[in-house]
Amino acid sequence: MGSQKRIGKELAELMESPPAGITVNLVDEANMYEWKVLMDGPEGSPYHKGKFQIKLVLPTEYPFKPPTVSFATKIYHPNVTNDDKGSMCLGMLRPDEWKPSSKIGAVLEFARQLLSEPMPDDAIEGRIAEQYKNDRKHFDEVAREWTRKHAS
Amino acid sequence: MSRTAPPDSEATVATLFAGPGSASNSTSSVSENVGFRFVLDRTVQTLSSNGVPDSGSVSGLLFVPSLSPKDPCNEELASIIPSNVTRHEDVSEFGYPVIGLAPWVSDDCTQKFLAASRDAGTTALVFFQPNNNKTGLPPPATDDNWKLKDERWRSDNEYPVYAIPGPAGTTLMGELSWFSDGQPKNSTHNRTRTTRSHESDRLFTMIDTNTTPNQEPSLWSFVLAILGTIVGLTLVLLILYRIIQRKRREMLRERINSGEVDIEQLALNQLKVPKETVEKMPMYTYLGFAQDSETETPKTPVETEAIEVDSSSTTSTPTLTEGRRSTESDGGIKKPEPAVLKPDANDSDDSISSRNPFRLSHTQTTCAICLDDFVAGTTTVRELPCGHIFDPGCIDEYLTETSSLCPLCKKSVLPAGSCPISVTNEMVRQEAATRRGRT
Repeated sequence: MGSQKRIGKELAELMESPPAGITVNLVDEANMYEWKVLMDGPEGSPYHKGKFQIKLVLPTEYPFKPPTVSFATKIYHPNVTNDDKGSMCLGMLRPDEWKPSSKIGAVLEFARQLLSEPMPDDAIEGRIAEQYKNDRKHFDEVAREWTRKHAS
Repeated sequence: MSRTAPPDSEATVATLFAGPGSASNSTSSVSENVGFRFVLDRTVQTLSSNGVPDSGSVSGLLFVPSLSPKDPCNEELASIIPSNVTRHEDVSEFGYPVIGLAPWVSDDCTQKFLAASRDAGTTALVFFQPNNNKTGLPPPATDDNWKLKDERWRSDNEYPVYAIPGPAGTTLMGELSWFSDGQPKNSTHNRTRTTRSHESDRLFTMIDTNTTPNQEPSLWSFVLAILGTIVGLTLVLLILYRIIQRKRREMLRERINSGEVDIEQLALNQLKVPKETVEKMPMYTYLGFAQDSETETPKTPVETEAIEVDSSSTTSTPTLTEGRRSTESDGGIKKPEPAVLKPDANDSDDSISSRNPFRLSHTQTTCAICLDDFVAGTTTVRELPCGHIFDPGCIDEYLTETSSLCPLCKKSVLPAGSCPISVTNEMVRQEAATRRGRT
């Protein structure tokens, strides 16, 4: 019950004053635990002008357990799995690092930050991370290409 | 009166049992409570195994084969064979199988005993060497002791031939003179057999050889012995292993209790706080942020700033993980230090500690778990050892069900040395690994 109250509070706050480039909605009005987030690709990144759909799932134990973030839109990024799930690997979302005081807004902003500054050292897609580090030009090209293809 | 065959790998070795049989016509049972019982265990050597039944067991009444009265062997053996021993005539009338007993002295006499036994239709013949005083197993059949000029003796005689130690043969011979008809006889042999009572005692003999059927159990027992040893050894090792593990757990526990080892690291965030510990943490009415900041004007800006960074790290633009960590160590960890350093004041008097201007709690205005604002003078809050305050309902549930770490600064709320969970082998391994990594 406690989780619903807090989620409601956070949702209201995010809908009222959404962070830059982020809009949140519930997938289903009756279910507070599944959020549909629309994220604009940050300026200066190869994802600019792309619109990425993100699925945010909150556990019933929230805020004691971390939410999960996954990209519904395909994205070429070292920290997002290159599969149907599109799971995003965020350090702060790991169970042992998660703090109940972290808010969903912060998680989403952190995710957006990650689009601007990928973390190749903490990557989930090693090949993309390698390319990001060694061949930035090609990485940007592919990422831009994918953004055009999938996120617009 | 069954005898279990002793396990022995030597196939020619037999066990002889001799006891007085109640030789009535109706039963061949041997009564146990009769005065004489004679057992040769594994000291009976098989010289010839002709006609031994599959069971490997031969039994019958014991007698001494008679040679013809004029035979020189009679004289030669007079000192060995008492004149009144049980003869074939004494046992044949009962209708039981009979077993001969004869001394092995000279080639000639032995041949004659063999022939006499053959004529008497004996079931088996037992030899002994009267001059041999060894009580152990007689030499094997291939030994020179058992050589006769005519080597065919083994094949010619269709009954099995055994050898028993000399002293045993002499004893049996003596007993045979007593059990011929219950009293010493005269040497004439002219007594009428008809007067013999049904209860006459005779020496009943049973020879059990370890032939093939009896060998299987010995093989099985060998396998069983090996299996038993393996099982036993495994058990011993297992118990030893358990004991060592237990010792290690106890040692780790001691080190945890002494505060040498950080339980949080070992328990992999599985640690929860017991309800009693949670309830011991101070709970008081929130007095508000403004009052304190007014009284402590020079200190507060610094403090507030530091805390703002920490508790609002979620709302402000998040930085990378490394960045967040450093903010924590700057603000969150350092500030509560005064509170931790004065545990006595905390415990003894909450009102004093709550008025302490250095306290972190006074810069917090909302519960980080439910995000509800604290109302000065109304909201009851619970303060953790690190100084962070929360709604009691939120933090109690969190500590007892999810984690023992402060939701804000991740500092353990457990007092040093307390270990609410039992030490596991996994923890011992983990601890050993971290120690190895450190050195």
